[in-house]
Amino acid sequence: MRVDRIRLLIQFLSFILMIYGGIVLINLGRGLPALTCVYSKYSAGLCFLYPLQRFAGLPFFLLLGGYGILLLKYMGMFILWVIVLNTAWCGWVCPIGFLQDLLSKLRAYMNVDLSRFSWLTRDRYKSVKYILLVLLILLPIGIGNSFFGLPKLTDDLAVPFCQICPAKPLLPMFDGNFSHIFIDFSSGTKIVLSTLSMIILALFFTASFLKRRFFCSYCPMSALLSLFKKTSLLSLKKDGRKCTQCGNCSRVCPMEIREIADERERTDIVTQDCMLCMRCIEVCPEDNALRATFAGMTIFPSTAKGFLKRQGAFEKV
Amino acid sequence: MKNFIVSLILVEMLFIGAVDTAEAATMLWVERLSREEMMAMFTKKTGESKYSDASGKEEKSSKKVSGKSFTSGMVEMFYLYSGSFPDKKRNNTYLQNTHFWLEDPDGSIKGLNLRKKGGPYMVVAPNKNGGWYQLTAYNDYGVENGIRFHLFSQNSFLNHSDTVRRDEPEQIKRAGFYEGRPIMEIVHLVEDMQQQYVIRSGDELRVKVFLKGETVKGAHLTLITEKNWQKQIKTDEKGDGRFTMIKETFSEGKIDKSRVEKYLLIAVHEVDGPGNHNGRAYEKQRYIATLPLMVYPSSLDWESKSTGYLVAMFGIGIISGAAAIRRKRRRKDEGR
Repeated sequence: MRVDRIRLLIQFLSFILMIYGGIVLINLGRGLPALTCVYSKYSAGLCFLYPLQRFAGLPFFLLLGGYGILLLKYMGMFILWVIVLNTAWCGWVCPIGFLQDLLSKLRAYMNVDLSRFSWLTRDRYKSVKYILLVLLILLPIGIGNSFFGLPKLTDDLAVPFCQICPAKPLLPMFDGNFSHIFIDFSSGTKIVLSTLSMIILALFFTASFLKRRFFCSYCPMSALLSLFKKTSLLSLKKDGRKCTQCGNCSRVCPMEIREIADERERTDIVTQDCMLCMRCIEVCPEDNALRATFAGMTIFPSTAKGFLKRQGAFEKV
Repeated sequence: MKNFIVSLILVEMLFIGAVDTAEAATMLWVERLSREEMMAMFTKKTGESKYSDASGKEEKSSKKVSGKSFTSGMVEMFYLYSGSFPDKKRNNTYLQNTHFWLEDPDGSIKGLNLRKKGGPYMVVAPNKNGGWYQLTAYNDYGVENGIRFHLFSQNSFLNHSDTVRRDEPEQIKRAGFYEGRPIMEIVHLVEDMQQQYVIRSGDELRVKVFLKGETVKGAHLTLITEKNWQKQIKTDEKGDGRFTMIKETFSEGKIDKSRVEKYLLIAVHEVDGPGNHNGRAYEKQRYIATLPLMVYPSSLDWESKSTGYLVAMFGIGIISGAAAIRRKRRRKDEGR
């Protein structure tokens, strides 16, 4: 069975778990490395970005007390999840990733051409997610604390990323809640943020339809995960000596990562955008040129035989 | 003639109203301090602030009494008032005999001490576990005009954390309790847990009144707002009562989403039956329970869903159009 089909099945099951798991009282905590929205009624766990923003918005004297211990607890859970699964959270679990993959499948079914970014465009905008990550921490800090005698930022900027994240209007729709699609006229800041949210939602649908995993290139959760990728047990390794640079790997990569094909020296090739979907391993025609490892043990290597089998060629060539 | 008619109306109101001036003085309610009020109390740098418990015995500075708990962020604080809502009286002497009980999310109930810091009577409720807590105040007011008064007030609050720690339940007799529950209780019925956390104007408030674990038919329910608007109903056969939260404050210009209106729900029920309390005879017992409510503005005041859908649809249209044009140009360039 092909890995991408197994991945789609696991994504579907994860989606059901993340959106409806709360109905059967499943609670995976508040440190999940995936965009499982707090606004979903039956969510089985919370995206770590929400408590991160909430706690960052507390005054320092509260954060240094009991609330700080709570934040450390959630952070500890988050790091633990990342150590186990690395960025596979993006590729195999995240509900927003799953929705994007479904939109891609729909595009393919409708025979609409795939859009790709040029390497230049991709490189130019790769820092956007880090900027978003920094802003979603700094803005709440400015709400809860005053610096150099300056006034605190308005409370309307609370949980800034959640206010524009496409998960907020989208995921609650799956439990019948369509109330998060609105423009908030209570203040100028809210008008801007809610309008931005609607624009990002529109961009999410359109761009994710035309380009695979469009939103993942700008997701601050992906940026946060990439900070811990070197400590993870799950990894993607490359043996540059066996690579013939056929380019299959970067061609099928949903994130259009060229380093998989170009890199000849490093063995650990999990880049900032990689979501460990393992499509590259599937399409690699060389034995053990690419392999997925868990705690140092190979769990899925590239094989010439496997490659040919998936292409529908005869087993014995 | 005019004065006579006015007097007549006032006398009628005294008989008809579930809360008349005599009862108003014997009503009590607990109000939760907001975070800002708590922070203002503990960041005040006017020297050591003293605390005393209800018996007048002074304790050390408030920082020691509740600073440890406060800096851990795991306390809620409540003021105790009596009087005629929304007019508050803080210092009625009978208040010092009020018993406080805090029910943990795991169902265990423990007693809390009443404190006085020069201002209103206060109670500090520790809450280390995640979940809903219920605070119950009970005051055995005594006998007045042949009626024995039992005063209750409740307040509930939510600790958002996931911590769970089970303490051994206290094996003591709790004043004001019957078989583990307050003798008189107003239970807020919700379909959506979010509604228990936040009540908004326009929402329906459904409550059930219990007396000694049984629902009460015909209990007088009165809802009073900050501006003294009142509505009075009686509970039905199932002990249910329903109100629709009104809106009293209309902002002109900037909308204040955090503007909370304080309402008070009062349940009054009388039970006939003679008795004797502390040497004073009574013919019936009157149970008065209060449930303070914080009513927030409805999001309909500032949210426009139709505009949101329009912006989203428009956005999809524009972005799709731009993408289509760009693709067409690219194909044209590649064709060349």
